[in-house]
Amino acid sequence: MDKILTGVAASSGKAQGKVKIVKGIEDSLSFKEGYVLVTKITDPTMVVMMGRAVAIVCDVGGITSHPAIVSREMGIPCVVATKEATTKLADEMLILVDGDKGEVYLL
Amino acid sequence: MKILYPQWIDEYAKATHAGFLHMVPVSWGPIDAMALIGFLNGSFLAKLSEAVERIKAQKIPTEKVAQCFPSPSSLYCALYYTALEYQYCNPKNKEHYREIIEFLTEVLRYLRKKDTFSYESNIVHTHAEVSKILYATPWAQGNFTLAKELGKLYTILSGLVEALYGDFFPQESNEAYGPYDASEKFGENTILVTKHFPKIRPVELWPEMKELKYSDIKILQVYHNVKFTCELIGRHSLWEGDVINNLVAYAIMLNGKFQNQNKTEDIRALVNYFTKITTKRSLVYENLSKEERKKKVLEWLCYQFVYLFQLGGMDWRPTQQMVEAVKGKDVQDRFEQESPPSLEEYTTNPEYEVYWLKDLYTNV
Repeated sequence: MDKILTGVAASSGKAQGKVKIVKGIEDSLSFKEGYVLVTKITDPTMVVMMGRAVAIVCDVGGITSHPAIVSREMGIPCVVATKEATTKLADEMLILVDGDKGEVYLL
Repeated sequence: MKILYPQWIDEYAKATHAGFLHMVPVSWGPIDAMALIGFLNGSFLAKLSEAVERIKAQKIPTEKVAQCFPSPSSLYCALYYTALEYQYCNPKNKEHYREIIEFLTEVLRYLRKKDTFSYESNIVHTHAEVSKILYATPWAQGNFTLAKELGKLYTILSGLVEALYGDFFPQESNEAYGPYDASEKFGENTILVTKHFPKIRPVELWPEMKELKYSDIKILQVYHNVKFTCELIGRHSLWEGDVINNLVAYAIMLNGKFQNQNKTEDIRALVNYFTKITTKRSLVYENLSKEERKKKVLEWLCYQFVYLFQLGGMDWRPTQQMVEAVKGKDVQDRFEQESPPSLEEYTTNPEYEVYWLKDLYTNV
């Protein structure tokens, strides 16, 4: 298990799943239940996908940014401010998101 | 050194600085509202000043004025944006602005029972009011599945609010209150947190929203062994503990009436209803030109005070002077700020509004 990203722990818990890089609403149909939503920063067009995600990882963000707030409400782990999640990760990679430590591991 | 300005300015600065440290303003849109406000040059403050004068002349009590705001966070942000406009005014009318800011802070102090600028909590209910909520609410028992569905409902409603009000004004329609001690009804180490979505059918801003079934939604939740704090505005909620497994009870209020949302399917039906609307609404800005987005920011700015303007017998909409002030001005789509300043810099540098708030009192 290799640590691939470090960021800010925004919502506690651990979850593993396959990566889906999300650019916007155009990814809604292809975003499957149980995937990890990886994006620069979430916005309201992504709420449907956020509801299906097991975890969220963002390039930017703070503990009161949009992805952090909704992740805590939904009880799923979230790591923000990783800087390079959308470049280091790719679709279908299997990862573990540690929302307590603010770390992402490649499985 | 003798401090000549009121203490609330220090409280405001401390809370605002801490709040901005944990946000990501660079992602805010659909246009840089902060920059736009900087171009108003007192045109909105003039409108607001007239409303304040009219309300004072009518001797309307603070209690009634407070009812004009959907939440204290809405009022705080409205206050912040007036300070931002004042900072860039040239020339500055100190007397008029001091009257506005003192009027607004008095109402905010009335609304928030403590922690006026929500440094870590959002307490607006008295102990007696909380007690009444605890005993009068038809609670349903919480469990893992329901807590998950309530989280999705919150997320989808939060998304709708951001679609309706953009990233700069969501506090108009999304507020969390608490934490309140719920032990008298639910036992030791329990808290009540209320999530409120007022003004969720703003037909004045978006006439097509008249079709929405609901104008006001509340989700009341009681947790065990969970800590709730918030930063600056109620919706900036921070939790310690397991909010999914430790949900003790919940209730949903739609348009002022409690619902019997005891089944998972009932909440899913609400989630599905709002999902379609939120998805559609969140795409609206793609079809708006830059000038249309500017106009929307001016409307949002005024809409914070819609009921206050009504109370003063005024039209709530932006004035022609406001429209002219921003016409043709170059504004980016997203807010631009590198890293936030230190607290010392934020409170002393004329590039930030706190300096000008102090200046209202120190250089007269």
